[in-house]
Amino acid sequence: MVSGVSIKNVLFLTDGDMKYSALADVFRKENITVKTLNDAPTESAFIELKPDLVLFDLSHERSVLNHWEIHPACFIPITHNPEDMDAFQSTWPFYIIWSVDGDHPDILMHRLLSFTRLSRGILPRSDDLTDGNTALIKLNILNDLLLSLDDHLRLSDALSAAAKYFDRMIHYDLLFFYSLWSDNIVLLSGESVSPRLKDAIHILSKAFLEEKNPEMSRMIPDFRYSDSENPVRDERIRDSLLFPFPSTGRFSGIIGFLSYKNNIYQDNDRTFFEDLTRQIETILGHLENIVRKKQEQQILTVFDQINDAMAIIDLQKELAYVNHYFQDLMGKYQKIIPYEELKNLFSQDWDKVQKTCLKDKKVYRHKVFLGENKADRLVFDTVTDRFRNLPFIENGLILVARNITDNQRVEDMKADLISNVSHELKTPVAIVKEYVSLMADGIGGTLSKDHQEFNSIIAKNLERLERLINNVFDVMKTEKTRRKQKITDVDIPDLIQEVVDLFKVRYASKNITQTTRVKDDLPPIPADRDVLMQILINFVENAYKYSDENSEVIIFADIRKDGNLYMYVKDHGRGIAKKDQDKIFQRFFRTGLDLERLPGVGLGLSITKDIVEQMGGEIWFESELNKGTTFYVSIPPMGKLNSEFNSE
Amino acid sequence: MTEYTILIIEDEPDMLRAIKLRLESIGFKVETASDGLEGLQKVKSIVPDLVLLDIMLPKMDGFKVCNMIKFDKKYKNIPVIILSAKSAQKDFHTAKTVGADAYLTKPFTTADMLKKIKELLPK
Repeated sequence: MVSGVSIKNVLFLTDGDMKYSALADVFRKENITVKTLNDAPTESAFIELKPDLVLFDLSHERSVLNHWEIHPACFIPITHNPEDMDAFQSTWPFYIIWSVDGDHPDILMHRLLSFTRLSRGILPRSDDLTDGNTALIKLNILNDLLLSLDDHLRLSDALSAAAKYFDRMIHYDLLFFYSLWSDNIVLLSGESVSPRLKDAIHILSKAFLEEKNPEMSRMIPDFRYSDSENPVRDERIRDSLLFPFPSTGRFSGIIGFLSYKNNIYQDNDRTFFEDLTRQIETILGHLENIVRKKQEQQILTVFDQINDAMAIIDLQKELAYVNHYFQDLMGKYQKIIPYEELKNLFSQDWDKVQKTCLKDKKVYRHKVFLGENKADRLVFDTVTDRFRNLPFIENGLILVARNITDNQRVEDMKADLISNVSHELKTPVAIVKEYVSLMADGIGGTLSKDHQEFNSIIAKNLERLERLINNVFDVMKTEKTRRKQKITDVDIPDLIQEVVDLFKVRYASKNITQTTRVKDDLPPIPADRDVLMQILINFVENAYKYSDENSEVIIFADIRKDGNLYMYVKDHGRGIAKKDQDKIFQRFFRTGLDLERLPGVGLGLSITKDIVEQMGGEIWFESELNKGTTFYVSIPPMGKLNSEFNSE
Repeated sequence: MTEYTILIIEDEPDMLRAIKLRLESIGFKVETASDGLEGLQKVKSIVPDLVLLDIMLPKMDGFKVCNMIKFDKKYKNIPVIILSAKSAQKDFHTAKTVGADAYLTKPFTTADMLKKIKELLPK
């Protein structure tokens, strides 16, 4: 193989014509691996071969378009029908369209190799340029840029690589690029930028800008400042030629050629410069593409390491990049899938997702189930957000889906358990109620006055028991479907009095004093009254349960400087053992003593904690064995905070 | 008052007896069954004026029993009231799907039950 040739693998997409197989053989003689395909290439063909060069018959144009942005290969359309050339030249601006018709394969190969060989020969003057030669220049520069890109990946390096080709054909002593955005000057050849030279370039650029309005869409692509009597600042610069860059659209910089010689630039150089500038642009466009691809690869590598299913959705191209975890999930190893496929896999209201993320600029959360069957379906907690600041996607979404199947299973089991317990409790109550009611109505015989009274006491207490059971059931439901908030201005002293009244009878039965420490003039606080009530009831009920007879329970409430509602309920009961303290907010946890003799299912505290945290508040406690426990809450005023309660 | 026959299908004997006592005290004729299969057979042999049907029943659950009654041209006009301790939305929908005429959640008051029965009995 000729040294300096970067081509090692060639993917040859043909239409089956014999001329092509002859050409492929010539490649092979040069020890180049050639893979010939007659059908549309698949992604795996690219991944396996990693082609440097893709020669494709024009009939493959459409199928190649799917790949040419993804793989950093040099794509060359080729045809055996010369008439095709004109038609496709416009679609492929800076790649060669080459006809093999009538050419001997060896000659053709020679030409192709010289395109790809990076021959640094002297480029022809503009008047010698024929179509074929223009193509030659384009490809040479491109190849060299591709090579330099592997080492640097920097635009300025790429530009200076491009500049090497101008070196010997058009005389210039300095070639610079001036970026209007960063106000940076990149010298693309020779010397470093001395302050004086910098000044000179600034003066030239300013003069240029005065003449050309950067907002204009199309510029006359030349500007010449030439005055041998008054060289620009740096006395050596005597001739210059400047071009806007890019030449179409809003330009962002200026490319300039400077010379120390007088009147070096001729009028007929302009067209050539213009042509070259355009070529640099297209090459840079391609380079940027490659840089983007590299960045993309880096990002996607990180992406693949993540242990959640992730997808980056390109809404414009309607594609989704999926990571390894995601591919495992699909059972299909393909990095890029159609958006449609993702939509089908994670079925949720995607229109709503797009609206929430793109219009409302909010994160969209949803629970997604994979599989119909409840027993073996997978449950995912998904979060979708706008995808910003990424070079390769302008309008995108990112989806992260965490597999919470196991957690969900435990939650479901608990919910079922609660539901069953609730059912089991309700049935006997219902039966007893029926008989109490039958007796009250005198069915089965008239009751004595005393019996009627006893019966009504049973009935009253049954009602209470029923309410309690319903409460547990309701709490369980709030767990499953978080309730919507009802925010009102809550009068805290009034609320606390209601709780105290509620427990009056029970507290009296153990002769426990309820002491309230609440300022009467406490201002109303915006909150969900029922929720505050539920929290307090829980605390007061616990205090009651764990207090011994003849003790005191203190209920305190105040609004703190930060505006938070601060409440505590302090008992002088048996306290919580150190070993149990970190478990008390767990569901179904009850202390050893509890299990012996106290009623309850151990749900209260865990649910209270959930509720408080949903409101953005805090819950904590202090406890000492045999001295007592104090439960505290601090809750921010609602309304200030964005409510996170979902109504799903 | 015409004597209406009400069939109670309920596996909880104490509950069954309580409802029976209540209905008899008002003057209904009451028949009972304690599992789904027996219940269905009794629907066919007695042809009651109304059925009170529990959901969780041995041998055949209440929804199935209801479905069988409502599927049969001969019996589909017999009103069926489902009695259930479940109050989940899903069960309510299932009850509707199988053609139940009413759905009462336990514990229900005697008054509720009687009101429903009176509404549904043929005039």
